[in-house]
Amino acid sequence: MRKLWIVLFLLAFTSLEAQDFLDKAQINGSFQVDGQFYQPDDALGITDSLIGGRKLGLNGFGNITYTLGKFSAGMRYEAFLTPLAGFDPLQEGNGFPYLWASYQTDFVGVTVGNFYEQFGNGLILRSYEEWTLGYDNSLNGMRVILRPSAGITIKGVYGTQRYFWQQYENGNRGIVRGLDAEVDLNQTIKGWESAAVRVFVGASGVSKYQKDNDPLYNLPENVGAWAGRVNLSAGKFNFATEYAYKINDPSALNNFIYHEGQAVLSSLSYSQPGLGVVLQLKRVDNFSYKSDRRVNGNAVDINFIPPINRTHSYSLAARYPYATQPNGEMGLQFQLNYKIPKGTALGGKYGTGIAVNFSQVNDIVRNPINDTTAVNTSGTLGYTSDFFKVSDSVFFRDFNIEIEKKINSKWKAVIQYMNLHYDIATIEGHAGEPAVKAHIGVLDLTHKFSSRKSLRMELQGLFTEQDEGDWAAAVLEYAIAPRWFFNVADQYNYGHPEADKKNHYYTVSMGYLKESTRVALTYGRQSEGVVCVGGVCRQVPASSGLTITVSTNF
Amino acid sequence: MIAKSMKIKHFSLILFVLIAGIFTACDKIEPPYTTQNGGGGGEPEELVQKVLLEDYTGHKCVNCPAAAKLAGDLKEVYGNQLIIMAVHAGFFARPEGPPFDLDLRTAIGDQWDAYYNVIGNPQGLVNRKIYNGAALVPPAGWGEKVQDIITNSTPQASISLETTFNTDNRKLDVAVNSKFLRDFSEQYYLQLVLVEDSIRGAQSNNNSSVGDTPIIEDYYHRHVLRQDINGLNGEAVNGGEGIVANQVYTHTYSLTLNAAYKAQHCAVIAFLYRIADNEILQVEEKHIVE
Repeated sequence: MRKLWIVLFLLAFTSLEAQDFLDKAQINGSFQVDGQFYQPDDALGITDSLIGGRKLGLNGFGNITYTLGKFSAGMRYEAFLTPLAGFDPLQEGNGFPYLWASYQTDFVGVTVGNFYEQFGNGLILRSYEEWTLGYDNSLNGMRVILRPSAGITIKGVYGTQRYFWQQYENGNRGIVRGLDAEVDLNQTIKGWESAAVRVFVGASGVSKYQKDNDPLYNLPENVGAWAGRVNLSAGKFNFATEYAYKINDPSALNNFIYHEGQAVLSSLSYSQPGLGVVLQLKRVDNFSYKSDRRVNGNAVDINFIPPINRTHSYSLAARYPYATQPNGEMGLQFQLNYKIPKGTALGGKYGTGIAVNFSQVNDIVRNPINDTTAVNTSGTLGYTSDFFKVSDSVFFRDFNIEIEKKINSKWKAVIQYMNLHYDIATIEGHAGEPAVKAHIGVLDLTHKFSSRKSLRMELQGLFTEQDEGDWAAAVLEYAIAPRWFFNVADQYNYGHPEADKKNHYYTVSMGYLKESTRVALTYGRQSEGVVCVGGVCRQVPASSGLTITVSTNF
Repeated sequence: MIAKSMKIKHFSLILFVLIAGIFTACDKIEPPYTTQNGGGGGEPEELVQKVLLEDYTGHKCVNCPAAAKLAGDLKEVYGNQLIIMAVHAGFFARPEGPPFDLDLRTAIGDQWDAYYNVIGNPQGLVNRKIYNGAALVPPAGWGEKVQDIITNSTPQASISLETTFNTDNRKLDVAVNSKFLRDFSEQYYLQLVLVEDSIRGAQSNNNSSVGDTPIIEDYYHRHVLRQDINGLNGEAVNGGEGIVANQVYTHTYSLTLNAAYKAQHCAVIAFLYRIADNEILQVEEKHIVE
């Protein structure tokens, strides 16, 4: 593939003068290094032997894109030497995992090498990269995009997915092939150009191929999935829905059952100045789709199941994030954003923002296939499931309300309350542990001393009788815009059921920003937890020491 | 506009054909979903390549009972050609309060666990062979790796194990005769360990098709690594010298069986491994009480 990339690169420039490479080209890049110095910390149970001689973890990348007219090419270098605590040990290594070249016109776009792509909502295909999770399932192959007429886009992709540093060879994982078409009906049907209702329709199909070498099961070597989607918008209303189906796909994640897969995601929204309402529904049944059926961790996912839960930013509110359950879940989310107008009794001089959010995710109902076979038995159909039945088992429930109020030209406040139900046994695999039922409160006050200087204070409380009990947190952050910030924070697990684990997790940090370069230093403790992005999560072990982040782009 | 409409129809047809093409490339499997080649094994008379499957596990690991069942299913297929050893080590094997007070960890198991950087359980090693740069194999890959070695490897060494167990004083004598079928310039080591089968204890579990969830109170831990017999790294086969074809290398060991071990459930596992990369050349198992 590297040879092909070089040949294409050279061919693209055969007609150009050498000077054009520099004069007419545009080069963009971004770099980041995250480093952690680890130290033993008896109170957290971090000993020399647990660190295992590893004093320093370093994750870094450099991304460069070269553009010249319709041609562009790029690469990303990565080095995980050694990976930060909590990242998969398979990350360890360095090299260029992402190399690509692309040619784009109004009619056609061709990419060779590595690329990211998404069909619709991603239910049957989405490749993406998320640095904070150490996740990258980029495709390495070819992509062709055709735009035969205004409003019509057809995409075709094939390739293999990235699996850490392991090269694809001898069928050591599957091959992905996919097609997608999207049509803007208002642009393609006569008389619809100025219709009040805007309609997009799309369809896609994906197939993966992986050889069957298993001595126990008759495994499908070609596993196909398809999806159809519609998006309607009329004035202030928008409705979008997508349904996806997958044939039998026994894998490590579904315990090698032969049940078909289905997923549906729908969203209805209303939006006008000062008011936004969104209702989302989702049903997922056996819809993990990986290009290597043997992998059950966060890797080589062909598809992506979007979460329909609020992503919280305050530390205690984000302590129990929901991780999508691809084996089965049914969920809904309701979100209301309303701004009480200025000049009213509640709105005051600046108006008051209110956000109300509710989401709940339950399990699906699984019925045994017969009287003698337990649900989910390997090498069987697994179960049957009624599409519309919801299990009593609640994986996650989050009701939260947030009020944002600018009090005067100096003071601004955010108040948040959250009521949480978190099935820690299912989401984090803590078998037998009761669901966490918590009340969480946040007060965020910002005082502006001048146009450049401000002080922000956070006070948070998490109250629960389960898991590690009650927490309190406080943050003080002083910012001198646009260059400096200084932050002191502490999370105190004062309600831990074991007296010797009532720990403080304090941090002192500072950051400096100049032009597009940011340097941040943090010293202190990090509590054990879970980091999730888009419903994909990784465990973060407790750590203690110094963290440094340097990032820049041009 | 007519041209535009024709163009849309044209591309719609192409798209339909392509998507239909994808779906003709689908393999819908009808029952039976499992292969029918069970009951393999028996003790083959001629020399065969045997495989050691190391199951890194722990009693607090919720996915480990399913992995142990999978190992048992593979044993049904490959019989005595497959030898299983469950290594209880790491975070999920730590003893806690009842019912998880059983400590099945061993010094040698801890050493291997650290060496292979086994972060999560279940994980496996299949003859410690390195595939695509990684020795650790998740359970879903065990079957094809075992099959690969059994199908594609020609045995290059044999191990003959003799055990004598004195029930009165619980003294166990082990004699090992190793023979290589060709010369080897690399160094090979002989490692002997003791395993005990069917140790009763609690086990976390999240798979109702395997047992009770979230805890199987009366779980029988199978093929549990109990201790090393000849040191944490074993012993050089030929004192660190190269290996000579067809020469029989004899090693003998004695130990007193721990009073807590049930002799009728115990077996000795011996394996020859290349010191350079730890890959196992041959493995043998023998129960101490027949």
